This record gives sequence, C-alpha cells and structure tokens, in this order.
Amino acid sequence: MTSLNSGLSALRTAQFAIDTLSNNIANASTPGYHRQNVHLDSQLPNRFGAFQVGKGVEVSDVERVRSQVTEASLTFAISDYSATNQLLEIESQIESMFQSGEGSLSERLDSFFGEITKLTSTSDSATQRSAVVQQATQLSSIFQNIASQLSGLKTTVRNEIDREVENLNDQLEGLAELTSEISILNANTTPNRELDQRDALINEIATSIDVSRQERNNSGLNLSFAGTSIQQGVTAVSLKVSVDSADKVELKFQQTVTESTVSFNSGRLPSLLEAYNEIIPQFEARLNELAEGVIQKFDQIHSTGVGVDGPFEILSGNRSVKNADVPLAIAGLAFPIDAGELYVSVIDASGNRKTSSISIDPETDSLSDIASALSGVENLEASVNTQTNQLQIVAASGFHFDFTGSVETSPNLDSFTGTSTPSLSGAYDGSFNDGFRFVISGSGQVGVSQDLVATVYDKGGALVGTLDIGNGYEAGSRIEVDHGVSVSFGAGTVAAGDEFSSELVAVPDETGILASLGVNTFFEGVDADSIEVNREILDNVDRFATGKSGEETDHATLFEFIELKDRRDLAGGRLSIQEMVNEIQTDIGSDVKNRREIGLRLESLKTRYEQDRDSISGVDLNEELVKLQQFQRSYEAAAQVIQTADGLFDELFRIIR
Amino acid sequence: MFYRSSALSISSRAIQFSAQHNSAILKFQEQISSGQKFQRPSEDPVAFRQITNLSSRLTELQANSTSLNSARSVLNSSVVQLQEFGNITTRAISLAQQGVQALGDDERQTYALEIDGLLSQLTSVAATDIAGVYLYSGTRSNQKPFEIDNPAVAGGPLSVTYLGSEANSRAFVGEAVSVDTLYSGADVFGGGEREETLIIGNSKVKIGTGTDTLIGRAELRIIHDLTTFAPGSGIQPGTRSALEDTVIGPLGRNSVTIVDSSGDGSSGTISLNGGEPQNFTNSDTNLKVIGSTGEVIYVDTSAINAGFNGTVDIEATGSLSVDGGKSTTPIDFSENQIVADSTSGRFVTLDTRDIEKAESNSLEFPGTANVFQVLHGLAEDLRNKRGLNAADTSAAIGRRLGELEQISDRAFEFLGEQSTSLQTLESLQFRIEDLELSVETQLSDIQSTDIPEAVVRLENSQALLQYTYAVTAQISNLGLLEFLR
Repeated sequence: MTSLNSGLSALRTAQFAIDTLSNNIANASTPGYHRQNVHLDSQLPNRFGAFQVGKGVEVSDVERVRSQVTEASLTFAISDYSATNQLLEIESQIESMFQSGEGSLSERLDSFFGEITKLTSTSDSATQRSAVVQQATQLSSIFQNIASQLSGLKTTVRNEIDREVENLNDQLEGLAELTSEISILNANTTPNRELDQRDALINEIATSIDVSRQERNNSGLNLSFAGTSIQQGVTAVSLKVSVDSADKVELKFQQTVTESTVSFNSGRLPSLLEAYNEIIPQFEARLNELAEGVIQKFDQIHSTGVGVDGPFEILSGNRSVKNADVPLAIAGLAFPIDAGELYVSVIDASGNRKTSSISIDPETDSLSDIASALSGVENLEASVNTQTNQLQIVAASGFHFDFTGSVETSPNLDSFTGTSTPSLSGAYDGSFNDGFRFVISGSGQVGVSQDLVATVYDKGGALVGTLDIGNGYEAGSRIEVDHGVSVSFGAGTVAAGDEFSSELVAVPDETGILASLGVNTFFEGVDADSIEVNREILDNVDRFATGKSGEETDHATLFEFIELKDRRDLAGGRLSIQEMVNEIQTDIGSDVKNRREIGLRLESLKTRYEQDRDSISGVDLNEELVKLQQFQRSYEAAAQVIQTADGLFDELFRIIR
Repeated sequence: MFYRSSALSISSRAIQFSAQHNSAILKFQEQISSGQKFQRPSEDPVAFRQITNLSSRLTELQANSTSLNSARSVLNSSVVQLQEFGNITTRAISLAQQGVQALGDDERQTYALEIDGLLSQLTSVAATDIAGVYLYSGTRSNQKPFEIDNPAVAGGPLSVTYLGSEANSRAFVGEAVSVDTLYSGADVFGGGEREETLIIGNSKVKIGTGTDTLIGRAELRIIHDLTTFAPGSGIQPGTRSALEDTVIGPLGRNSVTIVDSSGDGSSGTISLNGGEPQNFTNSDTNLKVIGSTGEVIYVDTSAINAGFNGTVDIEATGSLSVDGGKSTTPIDFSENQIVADSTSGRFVTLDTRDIEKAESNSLEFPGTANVFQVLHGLAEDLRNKRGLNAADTSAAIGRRLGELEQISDRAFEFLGEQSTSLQTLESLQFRIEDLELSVETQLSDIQSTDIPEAVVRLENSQALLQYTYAVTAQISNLGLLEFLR
C-alpha cells in the first residue's frame, strides 16, 4: 500500500515546506536574510513488472536563494561607499572650519586690512589703532581656533582608528568562529542561518576595509583583504595600529607570529588613515603656511616702523633661537633669513639721528655675533638672554634707537673740517638701499662766499647733482638732492675737500632677522597655533608701528601694510594672503563636492546592488503566501490520500473480520 | 525575467526616496530662509570663490569709502579754514591799502587794532583741530602747530615757532589713490621766497653780497665805540666821546679842521667834515662838534698845540647788533660783514665800508616772514613803532601789502589744491559707490536665492515626497493577504 506512504510523505513534505515558508515570512524584514526555497523530489518508485509506481515525495534541498556575483559586488560597493562617506564626513568638518561669511578667516583678514585703511584717514587715531589691534586679535583667534579644531579632529580620527581596528578585530574573530561553526555544521546539514550571518558579517567588515570573497563549494570561503588572500580558518587574523616617527599611522596584519604592513584601498579605515596621515596634516600645513606668511610679512614691515610712542630705549625679541652660538642658518630661527644689511639708527636727546649698518650672513654669524655687532654701534648695547636665547637691545641713557632707516639728520663729519653743520632731512623714496656722498669745492662762508659747491655722488660713484651753497644759498635752508632727500648747511664755513656721506635706506632689514627674532614685531608666535598680537602692543596700542617717525599721523608703515594685502608673497610668490585663504576654501570645497558626488554615485550603486540582492534573495510576501496556499492544498490533498488509504485499510479489515 | 520585489526593497526604496526629497526640501528651506543660494563652498566651489573674492572686494571698498569720507571731512574742514584764511588776508590787504593812504596816525591806529583782531582770528584758524587732530601740524597732528609770542628781541619779528612736522599726512582712499589731508602749517602759513634785504636808515651801511638768514625784520643797532685822532694837533676825545659820538669811520674817513686863531692854542675854531666851524678854548674838555651831515663828536681842546692850523684825521670804531644789543659785532668796514642774532643764530651780511655814523636802522627781509609776522609787522608799521618818517612808513606798509598779497595768493593755491583733492575724492566716491553697487549686484546674482525658482523647486520636492508617501501606502495595502481574508 504505497498510497499511504505517498500520502504520508506528501503530508510531511507539505508540512516542511509550510514551515520553511513560515520562516521566510517571519524573516521578511530581517536584514541580510536570504529566502529559502524548498526543492521537492519524488521518492524512488516501486517496480511492478514493467511499471513503476511512485512512493511519494521528499525534500531534496532547502536552497538559500542568492547570487554570488551580486553579493560580491555589493560587498565591494559597501566598502567603497563607506570609504567615501568617511572622507566626506571628515572633509565636511574641515570645510566648516574654513567656512566663509561672518567671523570666518577670510572675513577677519578683510576687516583687519580694512581697519588699517581707515586708520590712514581717521581723525581719531587712538581709537582706530585699538580697532586695528582688536581685529588682529580676532584674526589671531580665528587662526588658533582653526588650528585647534584641526588638531582636535586629528585626535578624534586617531581615536576612531583605534576604535575601528578594535571593532574590526572583534568582527574578524567572530568571522573565524562562524567559519568554524559552518564547517562543523556542514557535515550534517545546510547551515543557512550561519551562512546568512557570515554574509552579513562580511558586509559589516567591508564597511571598514576592502574585502573580496571567492566562494567555494561546501560553503567554503576565501577572503582577500587589501588584495591579499587570507585563508579564513578557525584562527582569526587581526590588525594592529602602529605609529612611525613622523606620526604616520599604519596598519599591520597579525596572523599567529607574523606581522605585515597592510594598505587598504577602501572602507572606513583607510579613509581614516588618509585623513590622519595626509588630509588633516595637509590643511594644517596650509593653514600654518598662511599664518606664517601673515606673521612674517607683517612683522617684517612692523619691525622697521615705530608707533606714536616713537623710537625705543629697550627692545626684547619675542622669538628665540635654539642655540645662540651657532650660525643663524642652523640656530633654529623662527623664519629663515637672507644675507644682507641691517640698518639701525640711534637718536640723541635733541633728535639727531645717526644710522649704522650691520652685515649679517646667516651661514657664518650667530645670534651672539649679531648682539656683538649691535653693541659696536655707538650708544647701543645688545645681548642675548641666556635663559631664553632671545635678543635684547638697550640704548644708552638719553638715547633711543629704531630700525626705520629714516634719513639720518646728523651724518658722520669726520672728514669735514668746516664750522658749518650739514644735516639731512626728508624721506628717502628710492627703491633700493643707496648712499649720498657730499664733496665740497671751494672754501669760505656758507651762503656768503662765492663758488662754494657741494657735489653729490651716489654709492656707486655716479654724479647725483651739484649744489650751490655759496652766495645765493640761505644757510640752514633745505636743498632737495634727490629721491625725497634734502640737505642743509648751517651758517659757518666749509673747506675744499670736506666731505661727508650718509646711508639712504629703502629696506632697513634686508635679512628679515628682526621679524625672525621677534624684535618690535606686531605678532608673537610662529604659526597658526601660536599666533597672537604682541603683548606689548595689546598693553599699549601706541606701540603699533604706523609710521617711521613716531608722529601721530605719519602713515608710512600703514601704506606698506595696505600694499602687503595684494602682494603675492605666499606659496612661492604665487598668491596673496587673501588669495591663499580663497584657495584653501575652494580646494576643500571642491574636495567635498567631488566626494559628495562620488558618494551619491556609490550610494546609488550600493542601493542598486541591495535591490538586486533583495530581488533575488528577498522575501516577497505575496509569493510566499501563494506558495503557502499551494502547500496548504498539498497538505489537505495528502490528508485526503491518507484518508482514502485508511478507507481501503478498513475495507480490508472488514474482509478479515 | 521579472524583477522580484520584496517587502524590504519596497520599504528601502520608500525610505531612500523620502530621504532624497526631504533633503531637497531642507536645502530649499535653507535657501529661501537665508536668502542665500550657498552656505558652504562645496555647494559650488567656483561660485563660492567668486563670492569670497567679491565679499573681500566689498569689504575693501567699504573700508575705502569710510577712509574717503574721513579724508573728505578733514579736507572740507581745512577748506573752510583756508577760505577764512583767505578772507583774513583779503581784509588785511584792504586795511593795508587804507593805511598807506591814511591821513593821520589815529586812522592808522584804528587799522592796527583791526589787524590785531585779524591776527587773533588767524591764530585760531591755524590752530583748528578736529577732535584733537590739528589740521595744520602735518604728521605731528596731535601737536598744536604754532607757538606765538612777543618778539624775542626788540625790533624783531613776532616770535612764531612751528611745532608741527614738515611732512603732510596722507590718507589712503582706495583704488591706489592717496591724498594729503593734514598739511604742514609751515607751508600753509609760512613765508615765501626770500627777496633782497632792505635797510631803512641813514648810516650808509649797505647790504652785503651774502645770503641772509634772518627773517621778518630786525633792528640794526650801529653803536659807536671809540674815537681817536691822528697825532700832532693835541686834540683829544671829549669826556662823553665814547658814549655820544655818532661819527664812525676808518682813519681818514672823517676829519676835523683846527684853526688856532690865538697862536698859542688857547682858542680858535674847529669844524667836522667841512661843517660849520665852531669856537673852542683850552678850557673845553667836552666840546660838541657837529659835522656837515649832522654827525657828532665830542672833543677835548684843552691841549691844542700852539699855532696848529690844519686837518686832523679821525678814526671812529663801532659795533653792530641785530639782537637788541645782546651781542655785538665790531665794525670792520668790509664789503661782507656777518652780524648774527645770538638768540636764533640767524644772520645778516652787511657792507660796512661806507658806514658813517651810529644810529638805529631797520632791516627788513622781504618774503621770509610768515603770515603772523606779516600781520604783526603791519600792525607795528601802522603804529609806526620803528619811528620811521612818513614816507618810510608808507613804504613799509606798502611792502607789508605786497607780502600779504603773496601770502593770500599762496593761501588760495592751497585752497585750490585741497579743493582739487576734494573733487578727486568726490569722483572717487562716485566710482567706489558704483563699484560697491556693481560688486553687490554680482554678489546678489551669484549668492542670492532666486526665490521663485526655489519655491517652485520646493513645491516640486514636496509633491514628489507626497507621491512617495502615497505610493508607498498604496502598494503596502496591496497584497494577496487582503484577498485571502
């Protein structure tokens, strides 16, 4: 009686199928669940002579419906999308730091230079000087703020790398355990649930690093991380974070006792590494380059000017060197300097100014040498503070000094025998450093005698002009020589052959050493992190160098600051200050934009693959319900078969009774 | 092959599209609410760079505009003061003209009083300040430009010390333009080109060939020191000779002619430089003898040699002073003698070869006095403080008139210069305003939200979101289960 057996097998099979369908329906919303398909096969038939009669039905397979290609593509897409998304997140934060508008770096720079422009014309100089200093303070704060935010972001990313690696190692360990479990279960059954879990875990791992898989028969799996094939066995590989001497973070695979550096191509982790090792340091470097540019260029101008407080009795550098006794080139100066002349003027109580120059060669001169050379200037004493390695300059009592390079009023008269006192005035407007030598022809009384001439030569010996200082010249009155410089000869005598000369200074500090040593600078600090307005200026805004004379509305230095705004001094002479800010903002903006577009494309791709996967492996409730109906009918039919067989058995029993 | 749809794919698509539409709605909400198309550089890096550049330019133009307005305000104030300066000099010129033609001292005194008032007004004009910033101190604008005091020496000019700087203060007003705002008072109110020095007096001292440095005016005191006579006649200087002789000259320039009419030197006649002979006796120890041009010597005739009849050469030394006697310079009867003011160090070169007698002369240094000194000098001349004769007084007032005209011309030159600067600033102001408008327009074009477009897009996104919700709800309700019940 095979019909009973057939009915029974049909009943059991339908029950099994209904159970499987119920499980599909139950997991219709379970992420990573692959629908299971029950495959039926007819049982081996009984042979009746030339005929075969089937014995019923059996479950031949419970298929986990999936596409290997789609699954593998999805894993790739997850990895790429996660990488891009992670970078987008970090770069968006950097973009926010450099964001323009109110209170941005760009706006502060504009306002700072705007206040300087206003200072040239305001009738309330004292208040406007404070406004400039106030803007500079805010500018410094913005620099510090961005530097601090970048540093904070770097720390966060570093912590995130550690957390990500820790999490990844847990996942890799879980994967090993799951693989082990699958291989055990595989001997007796199809471990669909565990295989689903493994697929989900691999996709989770793919969010962190790039992983590809080659599936083998019997649920075996080869995984490749960063293109390196790793046989995923019961022993898990793990990752280790190491930092090299340049603060670069790298990852190493650890398997048993071996350790190898690994470089991932996609996933969050390599993006975090790229952000930590390259992107954030790159923006830190650019911010520092900008800050250094602002500090150095501004200080170079400021150090050769004076505020309305006038020249100095004492000045201390606020930037130090590492070693005061080695050549400046290797002494650890804040900013590199060039070889050249430094002009210093000493002013006596009557306002007479004498200018001296010091030759500086950073390859041979140390800071101590510079101090000695400055001490060689009459009525000036310079020293190096041994505690701080900073330069200090002090004028003798009753004297002041500055580095403005203003025309010296009292030239050296060692070669001048007359009783007349020549003096110079005006402001040299030449474009390079030069000098005038005045040679007297004829002897007699200035302004009285005939044929008294002062012949003027430049430093190269070229004739600049001849000045009649005899009868017809009013002793003591100014005669314009050239380039804004005038000379006057006081009442008295001059003698043939008398001569004197004077330096004409367009660039008082050819070397840039004053800014490097922080002597009379506007800023303190050397980079975005440390930039601050000089405390002495904060305490007394009259120290802000607005001119060259110390007079209230001498704006000579302000005009240099205004010119600085548009001068292309940064990025190797390619960009002005404002252009550099714009370039940084635009670059990060473009990076974020591109990243966002790539992210959208990858997200779309990932979604597409997920939909493809769901199209193949997802549970369609309607489909399941149809099948449920189908097996319900099968079940009812099988019950009917059994009932029929039971009737047949009853008939047989009745014959026997 | 059909594309299978699962519950998950339906819900994931519903989530995906509703998120997409919500994101768009959020973006349009931001654009409409803020009025700005972009919030972040990444939204349109190229446009954002333009925005940043334009914003920088706008800030720069606004700063330039502020600076320009400040400069204009200063120059406007200065122009008003220079107009006042011009008015003062014009009135002073008018008074000087009336002074020249005045009929009497009283009338000139009245004019002098008005000139005093004009000087006070001008002093106030020169000291004009805006919130402590002096208009005419150059770059030393916190310093009152002039310190004005009574003449340092008698007969000298008004003491005027300029405390400002020689350099004008410049303001940057944008577009590579800078203008002078605070002028040097020394230039505005100072003297002009030095002209030939004048001597008013009868001493026969002349101007030397050197270039003088004294300014304004000075009193030249020619002081008699010592009179000596060539030997042989027995004549000696009188007891008051040193103090009261006025004759000055090297040996032989002057002479006395003695006629011993008594034959024993006890009496006779004596004459100076061909002047009227005067009787003398041997009892005269301080006999005043007046020469042909009024020069005077005092002689002692108590010991005239008996029977002396003839001419005796005289040597009379003297000294010069231009600082009220504070310092003196011995007369060397040379072509170019320097006489300096010990107070200021300034000097005058004099030709003293023909100098004849001690007296007080007036020196004038035309073109060198500043406007204060000219006005003061005019008042002094109207009051005839130097005691000049009528012709010299009129001439002196006439010279002040000339100086005032020069100063007035210069005042109007500065007025013209500043007015031109103001005109430049006005043109620049228009240009800056145009540029500001242009930049703002460009900024608006790039940055501002196109509200109608944003609203339409918002509506579109809202509609799409509603469709997403509707279709999701619709297909969620559609299932076999509904039919199995």
